[in-house]
Amino acid sequence: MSLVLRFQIQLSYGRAIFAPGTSSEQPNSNPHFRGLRVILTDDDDVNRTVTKKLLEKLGCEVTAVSSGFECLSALSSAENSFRLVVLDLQMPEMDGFEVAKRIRKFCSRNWPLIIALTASAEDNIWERCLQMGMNGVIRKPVLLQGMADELRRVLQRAGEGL
Amino acid sequence: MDSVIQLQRQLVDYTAQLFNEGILDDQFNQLQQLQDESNPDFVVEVVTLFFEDSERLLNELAKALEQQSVDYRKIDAHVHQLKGSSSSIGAQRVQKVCIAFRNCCEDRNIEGCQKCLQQVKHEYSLVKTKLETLFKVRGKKGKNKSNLFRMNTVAQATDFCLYDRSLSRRFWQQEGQFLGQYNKVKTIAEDHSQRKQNGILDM
Repeated sequence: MSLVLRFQIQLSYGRAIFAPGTSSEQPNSNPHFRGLRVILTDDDDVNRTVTKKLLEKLGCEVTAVSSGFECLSALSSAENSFRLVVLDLQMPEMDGFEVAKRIRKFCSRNWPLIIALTASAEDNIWERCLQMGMNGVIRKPVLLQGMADELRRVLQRAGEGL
Repeated sequence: MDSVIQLQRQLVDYTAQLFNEGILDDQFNQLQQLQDESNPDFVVEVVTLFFEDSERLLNELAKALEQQSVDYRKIDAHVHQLKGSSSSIGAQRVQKVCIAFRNCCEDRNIEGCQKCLQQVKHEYSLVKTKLETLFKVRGKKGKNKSNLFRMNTVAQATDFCLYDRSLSRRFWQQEGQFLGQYNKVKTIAEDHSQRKQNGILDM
């Protein structure tokens, strides 16, 4: 019986400190975004890995690439029907603004949806993104809630009835 | 069982200390929450990427600052990247030095930049040491894989509420007490489920 008592102490110890922490208790995906096909473009390995996982947690099917060129070529191959592009603005060679401009030129005004990722705190970022035909902006570091909110807002605006 | 609790407590204390000292921030918690069964090594993978990237960037920065004519745009781009990846894993103190570093860059202040490089190197090696202590096992991972798997199953079966199972697994393994602990926990788990079946416990 003494063993069982100790066991209970341990349980409460763990719960008291880390109640929300256990990964298996987290919802695996958000039904709103389940199956949403996303292409993520970020040249930074760490950020790309984390953002990809965040999107997957929300239920998205994510393809991750590390440059604007890769993003454009993935979009242009016919069998890939991405609904959303998540795009880091600050990339070497071709930055996010340039990628968005080309997407709007070669694809269409409302397909695919584009959400920018930026660490910049500048006020005019949102305006510049709009001018380039982007649909949303997320500030880094990206948080699960912030990502979910912006995805929902952008999809709602696009009339995809969430 | 005492030593299991003790090890867990050490782990909890150690993690709490990293937050108290501002070495890590809440973003690291988010990272741990993203880890799941489909990717049980997610945190270690991301942090390893961070180490690789940071070391490359710190080398580049050192080289760039030694040049006769310093290319501040290049330096700023490197620091920007380091700032981004450190904030992604929650390495708060590295990130803060990066902000000061970028200001020095903007002012074209070479001495300030050199000082910031030393600071950022210091903060980086600090967070690296601390995180490595937290993960300690890398490299030995394959060795006890099947035991780790069983350990995980036992942990689930006994409804262990651990902050991060993989961390505690690594911790035990590191302490070289893994198998001993495994057998103890297994015995307790079996005892527990037996009691549960017999209706002695409703936990």
